[in-house]
Amino acid sequence: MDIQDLEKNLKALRKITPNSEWKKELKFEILKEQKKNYFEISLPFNWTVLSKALVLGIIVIVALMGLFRVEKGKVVLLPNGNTNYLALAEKSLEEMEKLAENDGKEILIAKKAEIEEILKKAVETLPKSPDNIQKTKQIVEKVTKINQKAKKLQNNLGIQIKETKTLTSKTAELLKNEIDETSKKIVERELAELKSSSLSEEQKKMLEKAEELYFEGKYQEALIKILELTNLR
Amino acid sequence: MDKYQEFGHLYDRFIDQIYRFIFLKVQSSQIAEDLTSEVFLKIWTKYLDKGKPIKHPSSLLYRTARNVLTDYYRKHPKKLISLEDYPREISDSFQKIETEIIQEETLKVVFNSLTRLKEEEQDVIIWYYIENLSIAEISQILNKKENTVRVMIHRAIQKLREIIEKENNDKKM
Repeated sequence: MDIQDLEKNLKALRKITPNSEWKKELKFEILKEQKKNYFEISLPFNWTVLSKALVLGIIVIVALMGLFRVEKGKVVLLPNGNTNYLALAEKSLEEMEKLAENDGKEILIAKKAEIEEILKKAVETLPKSPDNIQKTKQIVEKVTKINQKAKKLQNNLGIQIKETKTLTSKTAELLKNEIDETSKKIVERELAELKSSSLSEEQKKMLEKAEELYFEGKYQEALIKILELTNLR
Repeated sequence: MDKYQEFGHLYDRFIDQIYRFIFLKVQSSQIAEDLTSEVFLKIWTKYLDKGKPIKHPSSLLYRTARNVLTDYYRKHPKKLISLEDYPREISDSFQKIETEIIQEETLKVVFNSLTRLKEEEQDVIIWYYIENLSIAEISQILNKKENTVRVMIHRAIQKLREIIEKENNDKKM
Protein backbone atom coordinates (compact mmCIF):
# COMPACT_ATOMS: atom_id res chain seq x y z
CA MET A 1 0.00 0.00 0.00
CA ASP A 2 1.50 3.35 -0.98
CA ILE A 3 1.24 6.49 1.16
CA GLN A 4 -1.62 7.93 -0.91
CA ASP A 5 -3.75 4.81 -0.45
CA LEU A 6 -2.89 4.76 3.21
CA GLU A 7 -3.97 8.40 3.56
CA LYS A 8 -7.27 7.65 1.79
CA ASN A 9 -7.97 4.79 4.16
CA LEU A 10 -7.05 6.88 7.17
CA LYS A 11 -9.35 9.67 6.00
CA ALA A 12 -12.15 7.15 5.61
CA LEU A 13 -11.89 6.42 9.34
CA ARG A 14 -13.22 9.96 9.87
CA LYS A 15 -16.63 8.55 9.08
CA ILE A 16 -16.67 6.77 12.42
CA THR A 17 -19.18 8.70 14.51
CA PRO A 18 -20.91 8.02 17.81
CA ASN A 19 -24.50 6.88 18.02
CA SER A 20 -26.67 9.99 17.59
CA GLU A 21 -29.07 9.00 20.38
CA TRP A 22 -26.20 8.52 22.79
CA LYS A 23 -24.77 11.90 21.80
CA LYS A 24 -28.05 13.62 22.53
CA GLU A 25 -28.57 11.78 25.81
CA LEU A 26 -25.07 12.49 27.11
CA LYS A 27 -25.39 16.23 26.56
CA PHE A 28 -28.78 16.15 28.23
CA GLU A 29 -27.49 14.11 31.18
CA ILE A 30 -24.42 16.28 31.84
CA LEU A 31 -26.44 19.49 31.79
CA LYS A 32 -29.33 17.98 33.71
CA GLU A 33 -27.00 16.87 36.48
CA GLN A 34 -25.62 20.38 36.77
CA LYS A 35 -28.96 22.10 36.70
CA LYS A 36 -31.03 19.78 38.82
CA ASN A 37 -30.53 21.90 41.92
CA TYR A 38 -32.57 24.63 40.32
CA PHE A 39 -35.51 22.27 40.05
CA GLU A 40 -35.28 21.11 43.63
CA ILE A 41 -35.97 24.57 45.02
CA SER A 42 -39.42 24.60 46.53
CA LEU A 43 -41.16 27.88 46.02
CA PRO A 44 -43.49 29.56 48.46
CA PHE A 45 -46.05 30.25 45.71
CA ASN A 46 -49.24 28.55 44.73
CA TRP A 47 -50.04 27.86 41.09
CA THR A 48 -52.32 30.88 40.59
CA VAL A 49 -49.63 33.25 41.76
CA LEU A 50 -47.11 31.45 39.57
CA SER A 51 -49.33 31.77 36.54
CA LYS A 52 -49.46 35.48 37.12
CA ALA A 53 -45.69 35.55 37.53
CA LEU A 54 -45.36 33.68 34.27
CA VAL A 55 -47.61 36.10 32.44
CA LEU A 56 -45.75 39.02 33.99
CA GLY A 57 -42.44 37.49 32.95
CA ILE A 58 -43.63 37.11 29.40
CA ILE A 59 -44.79 40.70 29.36
CA VAL A 60 -41.30 41.77 30.44
CA ILE A 61 -39.75 39.73 27.64
CA VAL A 62 -42.19 40.97 25.04
CA ALA A 63 -41.58 44.53 26.21
CA LEU A 64 -37.85 44.02 25.85
CA MET A 65 -38.25 42.32 22.51
CA GLY A 66 -40.33 45.25 21.38
CA LEU A 67 -37.23 47.38 21.50
CA PHE A 68 -35.88 45.85 18.35
CA ARG A 69 -37.11 44.42 15.10
CA VAL A 70 -35.51 42.04 12.67
CA GLU A 71 -34.89 43.41 9.21
CA LYS A 72 -33.44 41.10 6.54
CA GLY A 73 -32.00 38.86 9.23
CA LYS A 74 -30.31 41.72 11.09
CA VAL A 75 -31.33 43.12 14.44
CA VAL A 76 -32.20 46.79 14.13
CA LEU A 77 -32.76 48.93 17.17
CA LEU A 78 -36.02 50.81 17.11
CA PRO A 79 -36.35 54.54 17.85
CA ASN A 80 -37.36 54.65 21.28
CA GLY A 81 -28.13 53.45 27.93
CA ASN A 82 -26.34 54.27 30.64
CA THR A 83 -22.63 54.98 30.62
CA ASN A 84 -21.16 58.44 30.53
CA TYR A 85 -19.57 57.54 27.22
CA LEU A 86 -22.94 57.03 25.57
CA ALA A 87 -24.18 60.40 26.79
CA LEU A 88 -20.91 61.99 25.73
CA ALA A 89 -21.15 60.43 22.26
CA GLU A 90 -24.68 61.72 21.82
CA LYS A 91 -23.67 65.23 22.90
CA SER A 92 -20.62 65.20 20.62
CA LEU A 93 -22.75 64.22 17.64
CA GLU A 94 -25.00 67.20 18.34
CA GLU A 95 -21.95 69.47 18.57
CA MET A 96 -20.64 68.14 15.28
CA GLU A 97 -23.82 69.19 13.56
CA LYS A 98 -23.36 72.75 14.85
CA LEU A 99 -19.67 72.77 13.89
CA ALA A 100 -20.59 71.79 10.35
CA GLU A 101 -22.63 74.96 10.04
CA ASN A 102 -19.85 77.30 11.15
CA ASP A 103 -16.41 75.69 10.92
CA GLY A 104 -14.05 74.10 8.43
CA LYS A 105 -13.34 70.57 7.27
CA GLU A 106 -10.27 70.05 9.55
CA ILE A 107 -12.31 70.66 12.69
CA LEU A 108 -14.96 68.24 11.47
CA ILE A 109 -12.35 65.51 10.86
CA ALA A 110 -10.91 66.04 14.34
CA LYS A 111 -14.39 65.92 15.88
CA LYS A 112 -15.22 62.73 13.97
CA ALA A 113 -12.07 61.06 15.34
CA GLU A 114 -12.99 62.21 18.85
CA ILE A 115 -16.51 60.76 18.52
CA GLU A 116 -15.21 57.43 17.23
CA GLU A 117 -12.84 57.26 20.19
CA ILE A 118 -15.71 57.96 22.63
CA LEU A 119 -17.83 55.30 20.91
CA LYS A 120 -14.99 52.78 21.21
CA LYS A 121 -14.87 53.49 24.96
CA ALA A 122 -18.66 53.18 25.10
CA VAL A 123 -18.43 49.72 23.47
CA GLU A 124 -15.69 48.70 25.94
CA THR A 125 -17.73 49.81 28.93
CA LEU A 126 -20.95 48.03 27.89
CA PRO A 127 -21.85 45.34 30.44
CA LYS A 128 -20.30 42.03 29.38
CA SER A 129 -23.22 40.02 30.66
CA PRO A 130 -26.86 40.82 31.46
CA ASP A 131 -27.00 43.09 34.46
CA ASN A 132 -30.55 44.30 34.89
CA ILE A 133 -33.43 44.92 32.54
CA GLN A 134 -33.80 48.62 33.33
CA LYS A 135 -30.14 49.29 32.66
CA THR A 136 -30.26 47.40 29.35
CA LYS A 137 -33.39 49.30 28.37
CA GLN A 138 -31.61 52.62 29.04
CA ILE A 139 -28.61 51.55 26.98
CA VAL A 140 -30.84 50.53 24.09
CA GLU A 141 -32.63 53.89 24.15
CA LYS A 142 -29.35 55.81 24.23
CA VAL A 143 -27.84 53.79 21.38
CA THR A 144 -30.97 54.33 19.33
CA LYS A 145 -30.61 58.11 19.74
CA ILE A 146 -26.93 57.92 18.80
CA ASN A 147 -27.82 55.94 15.69
CA GLN A 148 -30.45 58.47 14.69
CA LYS A 149 -28.01 61.38 15.08
CA ALA A 150 -25.24 59.53 13.22
CA LYS A 151 -27.67 58.75 10.40
CA LYS A 152 -28.67 62.40 10.21
CA LEU A 153 -25.01 63.43 9.96
CA GLN A 154 -24.45 60.94 7.20
CA ASN A 155 -27.49 62.11 5.25
CA ASN A 156 -26.84 65.84 5.66
CA LEU A 157 -23.04 66.04 5.61
CA GLY A 158 -21.93 62.67 4.20
CA ILE A 159 -19.94 61.95 7.38
CA GLN A 160 -19.99 58.29 8.32
CA ILE A 161 -19.31 57.32 11.93
CA LYS A 162 -18.31 53.69 11.49
CA GLU A 163 -18.07 52.83 15.18
CA THR A 164 -21.86 53.05 15.56
CA LYS A 165 -22.15 49.66 13.81
CA THR A 166 -20.05 47.94 16.48
CA LEU A 167 -21.97 49.73 19.21
CA THR A 168 -25.29 48.62 17.70
CA SER A 169 -24.28 44.99 17.28
CA LYS A 170 -22.81 44.81 20.81
CA THR A 171 -25.96 46.39 22.25
CA ALA A 172 -28.16 43.97 20.29
CA GLU A 173 -26.06 41.11 21.70
CA LEU A 174 -26.48 42.46 25.23
CA LEU A 175 -30.22 42.75 24.69
CA LYS A 176 -30.46 39.19 23.39
CA ASN A 177 -28.51 37.92 26.42
CA GLU A 178 -30.78 39.91 28.73
CA ILE A 179 -33.84 38.31 27.14
CA ASP A 180 -32.21 34.87 27.40
CA GLU A 181 -31.35 35.44 31.06
CA THR A 182 -34.87 36.61 31.92
CA SER A 183 -36.45 33.71 30.04
CA LYS A 184 -34.06 31.29 31.75
CA LYS A 185 -35.05 32.45 35.24
CA ILE A 186 -38.75 32.19 34.43
CA VAL A 187 -38.36 28.73 32.90
CA GLU A 188 -36.39 27.49 35.92
CA ARG A 189 -39.11 28.71 38.28
CA GLU A 190 -41.89 27.22 36.21
CA LEU A 191 -40.17 23.86 35.75
CA ALA A 192 -39.59 23.62 39.48
CA GLU A 193 -43.27 24.19 40.16
CA LEU A 194 -44.58 21.98 37.37
CA LYS A 195 -42.41 19.09 38.52
CA SER A 196 -44.25 18.99 41.82
CA SER A 197 -47.70 19.38 40.22
CA SER A 198 -49.96 16.56 39.09
CA LEU A 199 -49.93 16.43 35.31
CA SER A 200 -51.64 14.39 32.61
CA GLU A 201 -49.55 12.11 30.39
CA GLU A 202 -49.68 14.66 27.58
CA GLN A 203 -48.55 17.42 29.94
CA LYS A 204 -45.73 15.24 31.26
CA LYS A 205 -44.45 14.75 27.71
CA MET A 206 -44.62 18.50 27.10
CA LEU A 207 -42.81 19.14 30.37
CA GLU A 208 -40.08 16.72 29.31
CA LYS A 209 -39.75 18.58 26.00
CA ALA A 210 -39.64 21.94 27.80
CA GLU A 211 -36.91 20.59 30.06
CA GLU A 212 -34.95 19.34 27.05
CA LEU A 213 -35.21 22.76 25.38
CA TYR A 214 -34.05 24.36 28.61
CA PHE A 215 -30.97 22.13 28.76
CA GLU A 216 -30.18 23.03 25.18
CA GLY A 217 -30.22 26.72 26.16
CA LYS A 218 -33.37 27.39 24.12
CA TYR A 219 -35.07 29.26 26.93
CA GLN A 220 -37.68 31.10 24.91
CA GLU A 221 -38.78 27.92 23.14
CA ALA A 222 -38.97 26.19 26.54
CA LEU A 223 -41.14 29.03 27.80
CA ILE A 224 -43.53 28.64 24.87
CA LYS A 225 -43.75 24.90 25.57
CA ILE A 226 -44.61 25.65 29.22
CA LEU A 227 -47.31 28.06 28.08
CA GLU A 228 -48.81 25.40 25.83
CA LEU A 229 -48.66 22.96 28.72
CA THR A 230 -50.41 25.31 31.11
CA ASN A 231 -53.16 25.94 28.55
CA LEU A 232 -54.08 22.26 28.87
CA ARG A 233 -54.72 22.58 32.57
CA MET B 1 -23.91 33.26 26.17
CA ASP B 2 -24.16 31.56 29.58
CA LYS B 3 -22.01 28.63 30.67
CA TYR B 4 -24.65 26.07 29.72
CA GLN B 5 -24.90 27.44 26.20
CA GLU B 6 -21.10 27.59 25.98
CA PHE B 7 -20.92 23.94 26.98
CA GLY B 8 -23.56 23.10 24.39
CA HIS B 9 -21.54 24.76 21.63
CA LEU B 10 -18.31 23.08 22.71
CA TYR B 11 -20.03 19.72 22.95
CA ASP B 12 -21.66 19.94 19.53
CA ARG B 13 -18.42 21.03 17.93
CA PHE B 14 -16.11 18.40 19.40
CA ILE B 15 -18.12 15.35 20.47
CA ASP B 16 -17.54 13.40 17.24
CA GLN B 17 -13.81 14.13 17.19
CA ILE B 18 -13.21 13.18 20.81
CA TYR B 19 -15.33 10.02 20.54
CA ARG B 20 -13.46 8.98 17.37
CA PHE B 21 -10.07 9.70 18.97
CA ILE B 22 -10.91 7.44 21.91
CA PHE B 23 -12.70 4.78 19.85
CA LEU B 24 -9.71 4.36 17.51
CA LYS B 25 -7.59 3.59 20.54
CA VAL B 26 -9.86 1.46 22.72
CA GLN B 27 -11.62 -0.32 19.83
CA SER B 28 -14.92 -0.50 21.66
CA SER B 29 -17.88 1.81 21.28
CA GLN B 30 -19.07 1.08 24.81
CA ILE B 31 -15.74 2.04 26.39
CA ALA B 32 -15.37 4.98 23.99
CA GLU B 33 -18.76 6.28 25.09
CA ASP B 34 -17.85 5.98 28.79
CA LEU B 35 -14.48 7.70 28.39
CA THR B 36 -15.88 10.44 26.15
CA SER B 37 -18.50 11.19 28.82
CA GLU B 38 -15.69 11.48 31.35
CA VAL B 39 -13.81 13.96 29.14
CA PHE B 40 -16.78 16.29 28.73
CA LEU B 41 -17.76 16.02 32.37
CA LYS B 42 -14.20 17.02 33.37
CA ILE B 43 -14.28 20.00 31.00
CA TRP B 44 -17.57 21.07 32.53
CA THR B 45 -16.56 20.71 36.18
CA LYS B 46 -13.00 22.03 35.88
CA TYR B 47 -13.59 24.90 33.50
CA LEU B 48 -17.04 25.96 32.34
CA ASP B 49 -18.85 25.49 35.65
CA LYS B 50 -16.18 27.57 37.40
CA GLY B 51 -16.33 30.24 34.71
CA LYS B 52 -12.71 29.61 33.66
CA PRO B 53 -12.15 30.71 30.07
CA ILE B 54 -11.07 28.10 27.51
CA LYS B 55 -8.61 29.62 25.05
CA HIS B 56 -7.85 26.58 22.90
CA PRO B 57 -10.78 24.14 23.21
CA SER B 58 -9.45 21.56 20.76
CA SER B 59 -6.11 21.39 22.56
CA LEU B 60 -7.73 21.20 26.00
CA LEU B 61 -10.17 18.46 24.96
CA TYR B 62 -7.51 16.26 23.36
CA ARG B 63 -5.20 16.69 26.35
CA THR B 64 -8.02 15.72 28.69
CA ALA B 65 -8.86 12.74 26.47
CA ARG B 66 -5.22 11.60 26.60
CA ASN B 67 -5.23 11.82 30.42
CA VAL B 68 -8.49 9.90 30.63
CA LEU B 69 -7.04 7.23 28.34
CA THR B 70 -3.85 7.01 30.44
CA ASP B 71 -5.95 6.46 33.59
CA TYR B 72 -7.99 3.85 31.75
CA TYR B 73 -4.92 1.92 30.55
CA ARG B 74 -3.52 1.99 34.08
CA LYS B 75 -6.52 -0.01 35.26
CA HIS B 76 -7.04 -1.99 32.04
CA PRO B 77 -3.74 -2.84 30.37
CA LYS B 78 -3.92 -2.61 26.61
CA LYS B 79 -4.65 -5.83 24.70
CA LEU B 80 -4.05 -6.11 20.99
CA ILE B 81 -6.88 -7.75 19.07
CA SER B 82 -6.10 -9.98 16.11
CA LEU B 83 -7.96 -9.31 12.86
CA GLU B 84 -9.88 -12.57 13.17
CA ASP B 85 -11.22 -11.65 16.60
CA TYR B 86 -12.51 -8.23 15.69
CA PRO B 87 -15.74 -7.33 17.46
CA ARG B 88 -18.85 -7.41 15.28
CA GLU B 89 -19.60 -3.72 15.98
CA ILE B 90 -16.30 -2.66 14.41
CA SER B 91 -16.91 -4.76 11.29
CA ASP B 92 -20.38 -3.22 11.09
CA SER B 93 -19.07 0.32 11.29
CA PHE B 94 -16.48 -0.42 8.59
CA GLN B 95 -19.13 -1.88 6.32
CA LYS B 96 -20.91 1.47 6.51
CA ILE B 97 -17.74 3.31 5.47
CA GLU B 98 -16.91 0.92 2.60
CA THR B 99 -16.92 2.46 -0.89
CA GLU B 100 -15.63 1.42 -4.32
CA ILE B 101 -12.17 2.67 -3.38
CA ILE B 102 -12.18 1.88 0.33
CA GLN B 103 -12.55 -1.82 1.11
CA GLU B 104 -13.72 -3.07 4.48
CA GLU B 105 -10.85 -5.55 4.76
CA THR B 106 -8.22 -2.88 4.02
CA LEU B 107 -9.80 -0.57 6.57
CA LYS B 108 -9.61 -3.28 9.19
CA VAL B 109 -5.91 -3.80 8.46
CA VAL B 110 -5.21 -0.04 8.67
CA PHE B 111 -7.23 0.31 11.87
CA ASN B 112 -5.61 -2.73 13.43
CA SER B 113 -2.11 -1.62 12.46
CA LEU B 114 -2.78 1.84 13.87
CA THR B 115 -3.40 0.31 17.31
CA ARG B 116 0.03 -1.34 17.12
CA LEU B 117 1.82 2.00 17.08
CA LYS B 118 2.99 3.73 20.25
CA GLU B 119 0.38 6.02 21.82
CA GLU B 120 2.00 9.24 20.69
CA GLU B 121 2.48 7.90 17.16
CA GLN B 122 -1.21 6.97 17.03
CA ASP B 123 -2.11 10.43 18.27
CA VAL B 124 -0.24 12.31 15.57
CA ILE B 125 -1.61 10.03 12.81
CA ILE B 126 -5.18 10.49 14.05
CA TRP B 127 -4.84 14.26 14.39
CA TYR B 128 -2.99 14.90 11.16
CA TYR B 129 -4.45 12.39 8.72
CA ILE B 130 -7.88 11.65 10.14
CA GLU B 131 -8.90 14.90 11.86
CA ASN B 132 -6.99 17.26 9.55
CA LEU B 133 -5.44 19.21 12.43
CA SER B 134 -2.62 21.54 11.42
CA ILE B 135 0.98 21.05 12.53
CA ALA B 136 0.58 24.18 14.68
CA GLU B 137 -2.48 22.73 16.44
CA ILE B 138 -0.74 19.41 17.07
CA SER B 139 2.35 21.15 18.40
CA GLN B 140 0.10 23.07 20.79
CA ILE B 141 -1.53 19.87 22.10
CA LEU B 142 1.79 18.08 22.52
CA ASN B 143 3.63 21.19 23.65
CA LYS B 144 6.39 20.40 21.16
CA LYS B 145 8.08 22.42 18.42
CA GLU B 146 6.44 22.31 14.99
CA ASN B 147 9.56 20.76 13.40
CA THR B 148 9.57 18.02 16.01
CA VAL B 149 5.90 17.32 15.21
CA ARG B 150 6.66 17.14 11.45
CA VAL B 151 9.36 14.54 12.12
CA MET B 152 7.03 12.59 14.43
CA ILE B 153 4.30 12.47 11.78
CA HIS B 154 6.74 11.38 9.08
CA ARG B 155 8.17 8.58 11.23
CA ALA B 156 4.76 7.45 12.43
CA ILE B 157 3.27 7.15 8.93
CA GLN B 158 6.34 5.24 7.70
CA LYS B 159 6.09 2.90 10.66
CA LEU B 160 2.38 2.39 10.06
CA ARG B 161 3.07 1.57 6.45
CA GLU B 162 5.69 -1.01 7.47
CA ILE B 163 3.28 -2.67 9.93
CA ILE B 164 0.61 -2.86 7.21
CA GLU B 165 3.09 -4.37 4.73
CA LYS B 166 4.11 -6.97 7.31
CA GLU B 167 0.47 -7.74 8.04
CA ASN B 168 -0.28 -8.19 4.34
CA ASN B 169 2.79 -10.38 3.83
CA ASP B 170 1.83 -12.56 6.81
CA LYS B 171 -1.61 -12.99 5.31
CA LYS B 172 -0.21 -14.12 1.96
CA MET B 173 1.97 -16.72 3.67
